[in-house]
Amino acid sequence: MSQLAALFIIACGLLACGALAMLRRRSLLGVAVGFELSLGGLIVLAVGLLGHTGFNSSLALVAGAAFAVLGAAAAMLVAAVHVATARAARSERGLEPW
Amino acid sequence: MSWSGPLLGVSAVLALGGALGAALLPRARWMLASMAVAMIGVCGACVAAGAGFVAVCVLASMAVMAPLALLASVAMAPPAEPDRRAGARSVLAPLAGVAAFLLLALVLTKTVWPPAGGPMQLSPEWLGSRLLIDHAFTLVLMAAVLSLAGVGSVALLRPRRPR
Repeated sequence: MSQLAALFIIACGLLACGALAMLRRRSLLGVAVGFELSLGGLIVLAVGLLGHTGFNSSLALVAGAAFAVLGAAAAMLVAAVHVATARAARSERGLEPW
Repeated sequence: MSWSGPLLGVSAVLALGGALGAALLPRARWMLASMAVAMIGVCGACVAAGAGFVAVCVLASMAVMAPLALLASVAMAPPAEPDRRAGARSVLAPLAGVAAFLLLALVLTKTVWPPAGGPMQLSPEWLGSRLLIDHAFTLVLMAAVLSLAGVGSVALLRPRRPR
């Protein structure tokens, strides 16, 4: 198996598992994990497609970096939503002074 | 002996095993640990493919993602029911995942891609010049996405005044 085919198999597996997690999970965290897995698949796909097929290897690096930053941003947003929800629930019960 | 082949094999096992675990394991901590393993596999695949810069970016984003996701899982109330959808969707989702994997793998591996053009240049000077000159707009877009996420986080976490 060539390196390109192996990269494609990894990318397809990550994309499929990401879609599976997003369809199967009920919680926001589970959906976010599915999103991160899909982004990992997109990173491998960008490196394989753009870097190894003669399109544009520097664009592969930039696209991979952009997907990685997008993953970090999504994780930040999900954590914020969770913390906000937990704080709202605590303040409703009078457990926090604000 | 070339090290990229074994590294790609180990990375494939890590990425696919971790992804399956993240999709199927029931508990949030296990799911997050599996996701971290999958992303380490992605890093290894990028290194094996010669994209060390992307691997470093993925590792850096993992360093942000993992503590935040752990914080979210701690803040999350313990689920009253399993984190899985019941009914026909729980059966259809794995089938859809397998079908998507097979279809994508078939299309990508059967397509005849053009050969790679020229040797890859990965020196820091060349990468820096491409990033800061040719792809400056992409960098600005990345910063904008991060800023939006930060603004959203602050807006959500800001204490609300009582009405």
